[in-house]
Amino acid sequence: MTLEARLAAERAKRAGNLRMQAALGEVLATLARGGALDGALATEERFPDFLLPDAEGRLVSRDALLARGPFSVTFLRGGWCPYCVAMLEALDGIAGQAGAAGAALLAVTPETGGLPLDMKRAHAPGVTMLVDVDSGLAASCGVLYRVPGVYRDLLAGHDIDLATRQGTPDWILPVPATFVVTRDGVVTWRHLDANFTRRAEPEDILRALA
Amino acid sequence: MDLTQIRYFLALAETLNFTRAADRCNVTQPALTRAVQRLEEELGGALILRERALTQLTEFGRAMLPLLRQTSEAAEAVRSGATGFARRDGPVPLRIGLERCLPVRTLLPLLREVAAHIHQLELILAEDAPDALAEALLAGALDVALLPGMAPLPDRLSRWPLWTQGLAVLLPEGHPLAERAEVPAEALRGEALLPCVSAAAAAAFARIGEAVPLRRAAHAAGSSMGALDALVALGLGLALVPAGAPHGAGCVERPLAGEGMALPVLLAVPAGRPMNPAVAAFVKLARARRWDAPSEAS
Repeated sequence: MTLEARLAAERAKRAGNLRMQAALGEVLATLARGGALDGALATEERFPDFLLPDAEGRLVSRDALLARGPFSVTFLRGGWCPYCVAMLEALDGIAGQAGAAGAALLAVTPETGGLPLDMKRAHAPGVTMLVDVDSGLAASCGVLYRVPGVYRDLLAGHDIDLATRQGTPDWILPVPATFVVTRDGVVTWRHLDANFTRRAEPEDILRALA
Repeated sequence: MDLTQIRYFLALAETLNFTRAADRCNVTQPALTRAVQRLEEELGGALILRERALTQLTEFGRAMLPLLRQTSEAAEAVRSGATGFARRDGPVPLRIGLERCLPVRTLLPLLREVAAHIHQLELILAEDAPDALAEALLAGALDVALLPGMAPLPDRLSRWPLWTQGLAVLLPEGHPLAERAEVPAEALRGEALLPCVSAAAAAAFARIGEAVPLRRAAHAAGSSMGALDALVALGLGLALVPAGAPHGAGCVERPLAGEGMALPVLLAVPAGRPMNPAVAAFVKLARARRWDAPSEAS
């Protein structure tokens, strides 16, 4: 099943769920107001410097990645999100081809306490999973937002406690985004969508990395 | 949340003056005003109240301040320190405080990573009682501490639970209690117990002593786990220690059985204090993983 087919199936499951649709509407409205995503990292800008742990406890830096070749960075929300799980599995599906082309695929999550390793082991052993503790990388890329009330209540009602999962006092999430960065550190391709049910196409990522 | 908008708002929150804030941020006043307005639209409320000549934060603005500061700081702290404004010349200190008897070696994988990635790391490890560690953090003498969650910590310390620390009884080799897989508190009746070096163990000692009469050994090891280990090896008494506490040959450790004998071990840092790349890396490594409680086996 293609990623888009899986995402469509997940959307269809929730199409009649009024609370879910209201929550999604609220997120879209929040991000549309004030042009929150206007300042997000754009193509032709340099990808920000970072040093973050991966899920296995090794530190990964932007410069070390660049020394080895181009890479893509995909922001995910967590293992609780079926769209993120689908995206992660799709990344795992192209990991071999990316590697053969000398490129690295990275997923980034704000979750902590071993959750990133669980998510990686369950869905994408072939993908490097970065742990963006306190969402500093998401903030640097301009894709971080404060979870608005209706969505927050919905998640809490499903026992998804973002504050505990992320170790932060406030509920924050990254907009699902994928950035492709080539060897000189510049973003050459980006997928950015306030709608968390939509994600980058793996084929597009591969093409951009080539 | 746009970092530029946040930066402008933080300047405004500090100066409570649009002109000074704009100067500080090197932008025009209309640009700063517009940026703050956009942030207000995204967050869904007014952050700033302008009353005649007075500029102040709204209640909502005050409520959002911690999140916005935290976001700005996180963006600073994600950098490697290798490039640009974050580039450092000179030593990068990482000062870690540990509760006495905490198995330091559990930190080895993290410290190895930090040392491999941070040039000119200066690692300083200190052991002390939980109260002293908390004070040292607040006073700026330590960057991060690992301590048991016993008495409530000051609000100005951020804290995250890492693992749950059980307690154990340290026995000289060949002691009859060593034949058991675990030692219930009741079995300590009549045994000579050395004064605890660890605060968590001392708290357990006091709790056990309420139900089981405990005999205090005449000897003492001060605040040294090594000295405590030596006294136990000499057969001068038993000791209550955190499970996995370092000890040498001549002693064996058995888990202390019973309810309420475990305490969470917390990672603590002063809230809102900027972290250098070594501190940031260490704290992130510690929060990213799931920790297994140390035991004699580890």
